[in-house]
Amino acid sequence: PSSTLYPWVRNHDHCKQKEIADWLTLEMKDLVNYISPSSEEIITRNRVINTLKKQISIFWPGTEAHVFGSCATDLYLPGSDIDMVVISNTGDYENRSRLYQLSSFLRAKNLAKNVEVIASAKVPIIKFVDPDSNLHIDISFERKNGLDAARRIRRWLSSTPGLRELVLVVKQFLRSRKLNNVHVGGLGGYATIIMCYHFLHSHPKLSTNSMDPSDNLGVLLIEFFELYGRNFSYDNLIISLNPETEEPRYLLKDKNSALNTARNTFSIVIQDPADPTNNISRSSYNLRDLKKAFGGAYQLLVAKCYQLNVAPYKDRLGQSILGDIIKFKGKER
Amino acid sequence: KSKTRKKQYCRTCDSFQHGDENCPTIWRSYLTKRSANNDNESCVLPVICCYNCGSSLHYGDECPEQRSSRVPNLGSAFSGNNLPKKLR
Repeated sequence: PSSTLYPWVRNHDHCKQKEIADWLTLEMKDLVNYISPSSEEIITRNRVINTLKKQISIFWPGTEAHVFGSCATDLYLPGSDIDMVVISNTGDYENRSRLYQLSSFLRAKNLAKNVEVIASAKVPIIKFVDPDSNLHIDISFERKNGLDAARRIRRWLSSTPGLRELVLVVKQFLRSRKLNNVHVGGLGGYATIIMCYHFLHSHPKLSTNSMDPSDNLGVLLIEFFELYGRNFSYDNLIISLNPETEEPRYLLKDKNSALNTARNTFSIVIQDPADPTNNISRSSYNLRDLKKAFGGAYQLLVAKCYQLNVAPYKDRLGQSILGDIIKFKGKER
Repeated sequence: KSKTRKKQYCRTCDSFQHGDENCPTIWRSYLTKRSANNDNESCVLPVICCYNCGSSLHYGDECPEQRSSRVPNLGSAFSGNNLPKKLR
């Protein structure tokens, strides 16, 4: 029964590992493999993206459509939305009439169903569903910051071993707690990535190059939850990276009032690496639940480690350490 | 409550904070590089930022200021003890 709840464990039993930390590391790698896109999914996504890019440039010569967000960094979970942005030579495509023009075109060409035009939002977008794949797509206009962020994240992924695994597991955790939606105060993808990057580069064992993160993913996951669920001072500190070196640092909220716009002192502030006055996690107002979730994940993981560490072989067989904090819903992969 | 506390003793840590079966070393065990344990190797200087006060001089576990988080600290990854021996 556990294998259907924790499908990543199936045929990947690590219960004979002597060190419980190694078991967890191996299980994290299995989970990452399990939630990573299949070649079929990658082909489908690429087809949807390329068709849209091509059709939009035909419809509006002088524009180009790009992907950004998790789809551009390959940090997407199964079924995640595709984020696209239309950039024009003239730079004036973010307006009501353009949004409606494009939405009618996509509908007429049978490239979109369930189309919604959200013209009055701070970031106006068109939302729709691809009729063949049922993938959800958001298109925004003339905003390059998402493309810059994607470029930065791709650079970080290649320079920071372990980052991809940690981000994907934390994202899946937040998703299964429904805490990944910024529209209801959850933590966004970019904020999650910066927290993971900051954590990995400030860890005493990693910043001194004393260990290989890929060998220690299990203990690093628990320590990530330990830092942000138990110890970090959300009241006083801002999560920041030095703009020149990208070295992790914390800034004082007191001394950086421009960033600290929240009324509540208990709020998460993450400085935008590209704009020092911008707080990436401005919309993550539900810090109370976020911190509780991180702290709870720490406790559940640690308790499971203690329990399995003394359990006899027959009780360890087929068990999952991550199963208490991550539920995987959706069709079998 | 204090009675149950006293029953707990960890032989690994020589501590009454937890029992043998709840010892953090069960999961906080690092697979380190061989060169990191070798003191002759040149070490990379650590990036230090205190999770409690933001200082770049000490880690959060050793912060002299009053703790901001209300969750108690049981000893964490962000401690000078986690540095290579010659940097401590």
